[in-house]
Order: sequence, then structure tokens, then C-alpha cells
Amino acid sequence: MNFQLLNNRQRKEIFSAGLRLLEETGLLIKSEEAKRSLLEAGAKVAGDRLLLPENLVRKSLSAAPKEFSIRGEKKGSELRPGAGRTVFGLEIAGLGSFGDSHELNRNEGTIGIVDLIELTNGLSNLEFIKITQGSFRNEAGESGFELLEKAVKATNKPAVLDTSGAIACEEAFNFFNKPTKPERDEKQRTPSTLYSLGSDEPLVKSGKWIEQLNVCAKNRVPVLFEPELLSGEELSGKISRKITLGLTDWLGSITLTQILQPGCQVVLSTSLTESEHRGKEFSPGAGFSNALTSGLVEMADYLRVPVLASNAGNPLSWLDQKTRLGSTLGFLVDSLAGADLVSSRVRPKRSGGYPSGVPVITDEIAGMVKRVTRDVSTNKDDLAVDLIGRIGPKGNYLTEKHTLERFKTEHWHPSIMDRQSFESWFSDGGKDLTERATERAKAILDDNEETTPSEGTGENTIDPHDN
Amino acid sequence: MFANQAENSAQDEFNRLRLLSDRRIQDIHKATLEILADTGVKIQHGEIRRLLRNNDCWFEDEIVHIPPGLVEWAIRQAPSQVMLYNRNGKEPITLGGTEVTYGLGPTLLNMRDHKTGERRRFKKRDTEDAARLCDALPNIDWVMGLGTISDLPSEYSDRHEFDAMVRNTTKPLIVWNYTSDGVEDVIRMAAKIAGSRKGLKNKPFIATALTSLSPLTFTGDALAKLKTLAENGIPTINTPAPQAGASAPVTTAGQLVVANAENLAGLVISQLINEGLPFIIGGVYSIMDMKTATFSYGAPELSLSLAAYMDLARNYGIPTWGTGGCTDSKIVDKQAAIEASLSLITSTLSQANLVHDIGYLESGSTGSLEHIYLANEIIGEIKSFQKEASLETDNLVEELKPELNKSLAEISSSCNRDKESPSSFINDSVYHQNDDSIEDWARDRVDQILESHRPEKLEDKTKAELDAILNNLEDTGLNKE
Repeated sequence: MNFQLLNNRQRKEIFSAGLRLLEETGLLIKSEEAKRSLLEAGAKVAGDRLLLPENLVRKSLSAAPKEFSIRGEKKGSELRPGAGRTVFGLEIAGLGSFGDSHELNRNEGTIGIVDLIELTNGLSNLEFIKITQGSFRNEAGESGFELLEKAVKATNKPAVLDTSGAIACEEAFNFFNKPTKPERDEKQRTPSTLYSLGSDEPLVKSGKWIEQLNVCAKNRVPVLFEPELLSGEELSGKISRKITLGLTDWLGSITLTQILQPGCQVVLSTSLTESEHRGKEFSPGAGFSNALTSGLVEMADYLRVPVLASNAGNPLSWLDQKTRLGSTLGFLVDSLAGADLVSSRVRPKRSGGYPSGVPVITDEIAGMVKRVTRDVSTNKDDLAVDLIGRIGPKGNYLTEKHTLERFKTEHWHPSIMDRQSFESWFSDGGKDLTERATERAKAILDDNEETTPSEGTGENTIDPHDN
Repeated sequence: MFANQAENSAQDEFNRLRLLSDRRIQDIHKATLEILADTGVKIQHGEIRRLLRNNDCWFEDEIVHIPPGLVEWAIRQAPSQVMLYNRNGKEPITLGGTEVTYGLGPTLLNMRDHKTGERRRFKKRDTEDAARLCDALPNIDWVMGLGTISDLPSEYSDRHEFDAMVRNTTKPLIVWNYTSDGVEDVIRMAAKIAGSRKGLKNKPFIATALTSLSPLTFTGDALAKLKTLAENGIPTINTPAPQAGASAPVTTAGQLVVANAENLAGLVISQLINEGLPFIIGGVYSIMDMKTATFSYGAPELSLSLAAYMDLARNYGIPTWGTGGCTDSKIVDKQAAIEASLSLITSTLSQANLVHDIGYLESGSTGSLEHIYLANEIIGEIKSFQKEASLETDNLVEELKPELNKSLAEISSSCNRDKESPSSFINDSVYHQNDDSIEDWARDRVDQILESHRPEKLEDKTKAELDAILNNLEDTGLNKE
């Protein structure tokens, strides 16, 4: 299966443009130590910027690992970015932004962060979580960092963490990476988390960014580069310019990383941060966002560096929110474009807590997309010429061995999409998808409580913001 | 493989979803030829059987075996491009290239009443409303009748369906008839609007869909319709609906072989009757859901199989008939949106020329104007994706460098600029601005359009001619309204 936005000429042109911009415009580095390292490696000074020669960027790019593993707590739960398989995940935004523990009610579809994580643990098509820490305390007095800690303890899946800079505090970092089972050496070989390093501005690497990078690299934890692409009215316009800008930022980050910490595992991200839309009515919509995301994924594929495609990463239109169009389109085109990780976002409700139906619906979309993107085999058994000849124009295939042996794997079986007759659906209460998703979420959580005794939370918490 | 294929330029391969490699296309094509020759198709029409026998086919009872040479001859005869005009003989849509167009489906039994929310039998008024709504919607390119009219005698419902459409939209029409007499009557009505039968043939604003009966059967009625259409040169669409696991093998490849055999058999018959008849192939290829015995209109397998078939048809160089914008949901909710989106995305990216079945709820049982409106919006977003994806990569450095230099200089001079907190984004974003359900939101807009939109009227003389044809139909019940 193949779908490409960019032809080879376009990919080469965007890559060449990225190299030229780094060579002629350069990076703004706000760390003297990093500047010194780059100069020693061959970078040149131009005012307050460092210009990166093409050969230095190419050398760094070739040094970046092409494939590695991130494991989850659950046995067999492992991501292998770069291995050629797309996996889907849930991106949890706004942790601690609103009253997370206020008025939670599973029956009505509002759950807190721990329930949200437990729910995701029970959804098979979502194979990782990405969590962004909020900056405020919730009404129960818990900080975003404490909630993040709860989430990390609860998940059995690999996690991508955006700690809003808290990782710069090594104490906090060590807390998240505190060895439990298995031993620390093993943990270092196969990390369970991927840390997000968001850029404040394109082509600017702050002291905090470099400090976080050093902490991650020293502890052999892979990092995620999330360039900011939608901020700044001056960068509106052609989407190819935004793709070029994202690629240039990626190349700069990779170069800096491989010089400061050779061999550091990196994942590129297409995530478009939310903050830049504050106060603006601008809504790019699913079409724009997904074209940008897919173009970036294809460029990451061109670089042969693992990539995470983030969908609905910015405030989409009302229609997108209501219909999940951004997720449906994004899941499909990003996996076709060769993304390693694809995520869709769940946001807290204004009144507090997360909508429990959203992860269930996201899981269902991921299942559908996985079926659509499955290879169409034309081997003898699949073509079934002999069977078609035997059945001929008269019969049917319902009770054939060929059907009975294969329908469970050939057909995708929905969890919440309704295929009943109208009469059966009506007699079951005539529920819409959100109601059925909420019910499934509750069933998963209730079942989980029956089988797994809940562990206490809140012990040994630290809040680096209090330091 | 075929001469028509050369018209597909290499550039088209970008921005197009491709599922089947050349080798797999060949595998399915060869398997299809084997089925047509060795297994054959059931032809329940004596005159057509004789026509086939006179052209190198052989038969036992009603089963006709079609040799590969005849199939490949028919593929070469069929036009690789078909133009479909509007009611005024203008603004043609081009079928056969990369153009993707969208429209409704036919023959639904029920309608979800947009005023009451009630599910009830389909009426002539529903076709009129659907046509008027589509006339106003920018992303719906052509119109189909949506349902089977139940409030008039069933034997003439197709003529009333055409009448309801043609009076309420100027957009091209895809017609569904139940008999060859119905085909003839609709051609008569359409010729009144086009000025003559010759005018209709030269600039057709109608195409007619018919279906083979899976597996591998053409009923007498379907063949009689095909004969009338071919003799009149009306663009004809074959739309088989093999159900994986029931009327076709459970595997995608096996399902495609059955569908392709039916399409190519129809193509052979059409070209034998009228060499060069515009013929369009595709269909509705989904699964029989084993839990509910439903022919699913929301299954991902529908998207997969149809997108794969577009590769095959494109290889033949024959215009295509796709399926999208439909759902198994009983109401216009998130399920309806997700299922409609998935099939619309794959239909669009695989470049199906005519994407039908927009507005279908409940696995092809019930129609909804709100769902049509929603699909129109979804198509708009998908088109926006495609537009954005048409990238220009010239002068990137020259355009970006001055902006970046300026931006970096500003940042450098204002150290430690505070960033806004990401945690309050919801307060002022477009998120949460409206708590309406999708259906309520769409219903408001449908109501506004139906109240305000006035389609271009037919001339009084033409209306009188259509009235005369309808009034001459025996016991139509039209005057009883």
C-alpha cells in the first residue's frame, strides 16, 4: 500500500533547503558549553548564531540511531521506532489544567488521570501513551507533576513524557526512572519512556533545552524533538515552507544532539504545540494539519530517522472535534506515510476530568485503520479461484470451510460500532456512539478493579516546581 | 497492459492511494479471466445469450463462458473518459482521469425525517428535498434519487424519482430504474430536457446504474435495462455488491475476483451491443458481518476493497464507481461521521471518479439529509488536505531566510521572553464553542438551505412535457396527491 504527498524531487528540494538554511542562517544556541562543542566540531560563528556546514549535519544525521526499543511494563509491550511498523497511541493533554479530581463519575463518562491510564491499559489498539504535564495545581491540590507521576506509575505501556522542563531537575528525572523491576542496567538498555523536548521558537535552542537533552542522553533515554511550526504570523502561507522549517529544526537538533551526546536515540515529532493559538481564532482544520503532518512524516522517512505523528495536535474546528475527522484522516495518511508512532489527543473537560469515551473511540478508529492498511495478498488461497469455480453462480460462501476458517481474521470486528438491525438497536436503548463508548470504558475499568487490587497513590511524590 | 493505461501520467501516482502492485493486479486479472472462461456467468436473457454465443462464447443452460480474447477486446473498446454534463449541457465532469466527484445513492426504503427525527418510509418529497439540498451544496457534484418512493405506485416510482430530481437540481443525475420500460421512459423525459435523444447522447446529463447479482449472475431485468441503455448510448454503470463471506469469498482478493468478473462480463455485453458505449465499473464491496448478518456499509473492508479495485479499473483505463459517505449507524452521530470519513478518504485518495452512497444510514436502509450535509463538510476538509498537499517547493530558502533572520534577531535581542502557558488554551480556542450534537447542527443548516435555496427552474414547456409523460403512466396516482 502506498500513498505519497511528496515526490522524490520535492523531498530532495526540501532537504537541500534545510541544509542551506542551517549553513546560511544557522541556529541560535543559548548555552556556552554547547556553542563550544559545536565550534570544535566545525560550526562557524556568525554574530550570535552558529552556522552548521552541510558535511557536519550529514555526518550527525548518519550517526543518529535508525532503530531502537522502548518497552512498557506489560510483558511484550514494546515499541520499536524505525522497525517499519506503525503503532497508535493516546496523547493526554492538559494534565492538571482543570479540576482533575473534581466531579468525576464513570457512569457519566468523566474520569481522572489514573482511570484514564487504566482504561488505556485495557485498549489493545493503543500501544503507547504521550502525556503533557500541565502547569497548575488541580482543585485537590495536586500539581501537574504529581499527576504525571501517577500516570507513569499506572501505565503498562511505553510512555512519551512532556514534563514542561521539569526533567531538567535531575532528581525528578531519577524519580521517573527509579528502577523497580527489572534492574537498572536492564532499564537503561531498554527505556520505558521517551522524553519530549519542545522548541520555544524555530531554530532556537535554549539553555533549558540543552540541559534536558544532557540529562536524557546521560541516562540513555531517547528524546523527542517537537519543533514549533504554527507560531508567528510571518510563517503562515505555503505548507512546504512549514515542512522545510520543521525539517531544518529537526536537522539542527539532530546535529546538536549527536555532537553533545553521540549515539543519543532520537525520535522526530510532527506535534504542533497548543500554546501558539492562545487568543487566536485561527483553526487550521484537519485538512491543513494532516497535510502538514504527513509531509513531515515523509521527510522523516527520507532522513531515515524514527518519527511520531501527532494528530489533532492543535485546536481543530468544531467539526473536527465532533466527528474525529482529524484522527481518522491522520491515522490513515500518517501510517501510509510511514510514521512509526501515531497519536491522537484527549483533552480534559472544562468542568474537570477526561471524557472516558474518547480513548475508546480512538482505539476503535485505530483498529479500523489497521484493517484498511493491511496488505492485500493474492496468493492462491486468497484468490480462491477453485472455490469460486466450485460455488459458481448459484451458491453462497457462508458455510464453506474457507469462510469459517478465516472470517475471524479477515474481518475486523467492532467493539462499539453498531451493526445491529434498527429494531435491535432501538430496543437496546437507541444509544449513540459516545454513550456506547462510555459504557465500554466503564466496563473495562470495573472489570480491572475486580481483577487487580488498586495500589495506593500519592506516596513519595515530589514536585520540582516546589524546589 | 492495456492501451488506455498509457494515459495515466507518472505524476498521477503521487497524491494517489495505491494498494495493489502491478503483479497483484495481474494476479487478480488472470484469475478473473479464468473464472469468466471456465466457470462462466449466469445470463438470464435469451437474446443476450445468443449475442454472446455469436461472439465466441459458449454456454450450457444459462451459464455463459466468455473467452479471454473477448474480454480484452471489450476493455479496449470502452472509452477511457466519459463526460457527464449538467442539465443545461454545460460544466461537464470528466470521468476516467483523476477527478473525484461525489453524490448520493439509490433505493433506500426509509428516511430519517429531518423535521421530526422519525424513521419512516421513503416518499417522493424526500427525493425532491435531497436534490434541492445537493443543488446548494458545493461538494456534492451529482444527484441520485436516494430512496425508493413508497407513496406512489411502485411500478412507476423510478419515473417519479427522475422527475423529482430533475426539477430540483441542475447537477448531473445518476438514475436507477427497475425495468427496461422505466429506462425508456426516463430517456424520453431526459430527451425532452436535452432537446432530443441525439442531444442527450451527445451531451448526457444522466447516467444509469444497474447491478449484477453476486455471485456471477445477471438477471433478465438487469440485462433488459442494459440493452435499452446501450442501444440509446446512455453512460452505464455496473455496481455489483459481493459480500465477503456470503456471496463472495471471505478474502479481499477472492471478493475482487468475483466483482471484477461481474464488471467485465457486463462490459463485454455492453460493448457487443454498442461498441464504444461509456461504461463505468466499481460497486459496493463489503462484508457480511457474521454477528448480525448485516451487509456492512461502515466496515473498513469496504474502504479497502474499493480502493484496491480502483487500482484494477485504473489499469484497464475504465472510469470508476466508488462508494463512500455511508454508515451502519442509525443516527447521525460520531459513528456515522467516522465511518463516512474513512470511506470518503479512501475513495478520494484512490481517485474513484463517482463516489456514491452519501447520505446512507443503517447499512443501506435509511436516508438522512443531515448525513448528506455532514458528508459535504467532510469532503471539504478532505479536499483541503489534497489542496494543501499539492506542494510547491521552489525558492524555499529565498522565502524562508529573510523571515528566519528577522525572527532569530528579535529573539536574540529579547532574552528570556516568557512563553504563554500551554494549560489555558481551551479557554479561548474554538474548542467547546458549541455543545450541539452533530445531527442538530446539521439539521439547522439543512433547514436553512431548504427554506432559502431556489434551484434553477425548468422551462414551463418542459415541465408540461414531463407532466404529460407522467400523467400517461397508468394509475400513477400522481393526481391523487
